[in-house]
Amino acid sequence: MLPTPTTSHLSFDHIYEPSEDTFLLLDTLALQSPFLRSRFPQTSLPLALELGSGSGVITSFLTTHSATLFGHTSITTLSTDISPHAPDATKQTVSANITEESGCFLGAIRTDLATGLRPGVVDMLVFNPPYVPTEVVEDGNGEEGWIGVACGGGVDGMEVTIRVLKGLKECLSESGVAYILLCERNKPEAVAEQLRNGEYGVKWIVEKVGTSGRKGGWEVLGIWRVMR
Amino acid sequence: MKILTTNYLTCALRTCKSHPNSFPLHFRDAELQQDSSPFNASFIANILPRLDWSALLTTATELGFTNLPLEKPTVVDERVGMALHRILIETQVVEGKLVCRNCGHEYAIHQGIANFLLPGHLGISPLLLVWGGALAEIYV
Repeated sequence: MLPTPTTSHLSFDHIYEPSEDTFLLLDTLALQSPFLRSRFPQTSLPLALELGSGSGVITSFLTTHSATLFGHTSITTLSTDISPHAPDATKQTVSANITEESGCFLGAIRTDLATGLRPGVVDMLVFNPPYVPTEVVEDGNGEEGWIGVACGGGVDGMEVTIRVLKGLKECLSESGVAYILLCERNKPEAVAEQLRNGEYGVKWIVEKVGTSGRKGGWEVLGIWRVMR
Repeated sequence: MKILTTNYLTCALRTCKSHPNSFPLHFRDAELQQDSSPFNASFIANILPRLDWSALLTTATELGFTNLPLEKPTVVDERVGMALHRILIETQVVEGKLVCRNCGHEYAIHQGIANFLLPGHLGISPLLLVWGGALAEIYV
């Protein structure tokens, strides 16, 4: 087990506190290590981008544990978030956990998803979306402020994720791979089928590589790996 | 924000994206901070094929680093390796702006964080940007 980066320096009034979904992503990424090692050798110097980094725990995990995850420290990490609070939180979390044996954290950018990034530069994209079905996608001015933006995904909880899926073709490099969390209410099997059959511009190879398992309720989470 | 980041960034306006003048973005009033970190020779050797060299040269020159070769080197000797390490890894941009040469839009960098949000991203309808006049058009 790789240690979860510490976030004890943060308060979670405006930032999504790492929760079950975050930890599922971390556990899944750790299990993906053999795949990541063969896909992204040292000479490829992959760029990993986290969309909606929030507390920064995932970006920090990728940066600090790059030697274990990728087999080398020749990786660069970058994070984006639309919230005014998240980039600073992410920066702090990376700083609090970084070691001399870490990958290279380039920075945290305040932007909408991957807006501002050059096409085709991202080798690994990680996204824990706002996946809860809500009436509208919030803009930070709602009752729940920026936490509402981090959680509420509009229709089927998919409005933000659909924008990311539409942009994958442009964003990912040829060998690029995306890890995206979906919950049962996002209708993940149907989404995966749409990705496979070319509705998102490429006949993507899609595989469910992590799951929180069946529980009494319906909130079952899965991590989906998408690549060319 | 490390300088290497700018090799991966372009203007956020969709209409600029395909325009050659939107890359690289240009630094204005940049305030730098120098850190020190151990030299990682393989990192520098591996980053080289990924770099857009002419964009890096432009960026480096704007920030006062004039010791890079004009052509991308095929092998990294110690001198070039250390220069790249200094520029790409050890230098942070703390304050300043990144400017698109195509549309003139300025992206502020504050406390090391670049802000690439456009008015439309915060739920402001372009129709509300009446004061923006012609500018509003580009944000659609």
